Amino acid sequence: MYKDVSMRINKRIFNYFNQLKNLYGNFWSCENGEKQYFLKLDGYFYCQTKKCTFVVIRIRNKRTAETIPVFQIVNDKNYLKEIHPFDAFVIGVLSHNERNGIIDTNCIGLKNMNRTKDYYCNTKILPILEVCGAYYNDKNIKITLLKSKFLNKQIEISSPDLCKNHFLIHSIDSLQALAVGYETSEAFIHDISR
Amino acid sequence: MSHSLSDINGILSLLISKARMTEAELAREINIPRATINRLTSGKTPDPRASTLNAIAAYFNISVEQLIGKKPLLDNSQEVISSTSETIPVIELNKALEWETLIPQLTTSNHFDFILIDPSTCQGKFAIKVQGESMWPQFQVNTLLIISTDKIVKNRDYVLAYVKETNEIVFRQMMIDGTYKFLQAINSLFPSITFTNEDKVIGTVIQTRLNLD
Repeated sequence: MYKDVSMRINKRIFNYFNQLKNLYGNFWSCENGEKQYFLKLDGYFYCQTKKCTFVVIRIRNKRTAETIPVFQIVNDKNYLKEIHPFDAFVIGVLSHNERNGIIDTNCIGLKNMNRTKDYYCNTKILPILEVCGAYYNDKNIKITLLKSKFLNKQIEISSPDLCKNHFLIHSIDSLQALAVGYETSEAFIHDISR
Repeated sequence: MSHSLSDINGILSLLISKARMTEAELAREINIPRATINRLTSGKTPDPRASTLNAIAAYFNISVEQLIGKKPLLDNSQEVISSTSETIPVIELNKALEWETLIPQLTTSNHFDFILIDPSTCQGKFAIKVQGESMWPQFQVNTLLIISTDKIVKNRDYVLAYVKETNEIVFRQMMIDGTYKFLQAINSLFPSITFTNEDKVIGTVIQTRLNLD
């Protein structure tokens, strides 16, 4: 009896803190036990005074946002692990574009920020695919190999095609999605320079 | 032919698994759509084409009768399959400059790290593992890079180069702008290196592999 009461009190206290922390975002598991990507890429813009691309990272469903240079966020794994793979992919493309001097002239300044869509599920799931390799084919196009974690199956897809298929990007790890973003941008630059 | 169809999927699956390859790799090797191989292994193709069967049988060095199960598949299939692939050593980055003298000395008794490659599609001489974060995030730590020493270096190729000024071997992207060449890291925290006539390109990356297990 005493044990039941103490457990009930403990649960109430826990729920209270659970709600309190949710004021700032879902940093831990939700009520159903699933974790969420609590950060999202709100948009990106190019700053002419600082001559670099900035990304706006927002806490999901909250107003709290931070503006970070893209070259800084690609080296911050703590941020990247909490971002959805598709957002990480976009950051990868932006970072590699900036490295090669390609800037989006339509989004110069914070007021003209290019907002990214939020149309996907934000629950953190175990990635079902992993990038297991890459090679260049006869036409010098980079082919990425995606391997299923649970089946002995492999998908071979070129970087531009992978970019178009957002379902595949959703099924890989955020850090690998970042790398895929780099490869997609590289393939695009290869095409231009040919 | 229908009685042997159940054998095709079993035999083909066995051959693929013994060759340690995937359906996609086989499809690429014999230039047949991956879906065709998949339908064969899952027994969904009612009447496979002779050209498909011939290509598969030729690749595994067996007869079509053996492939469709009319004749027994001898237990030498493993030897046949291993003869189609080749091993290359995984060497350390700091030894890559002496690859020409080092590789002939390496055997399974004195070196334990070898990987399988297919000589028909991959002309790699040796492999190295990515160390450090200079090429992060495109090349993560411990990614295997298969290096070809015969390929002519072009603009934007990923190369393994020896830099004389610092006396080190680096893995970077080669940027060529007219006569001016420089080695650039993916990670912007690492500076670019001017490639001079005294520096040397050891090889070009032709394939990458990630072992995440």
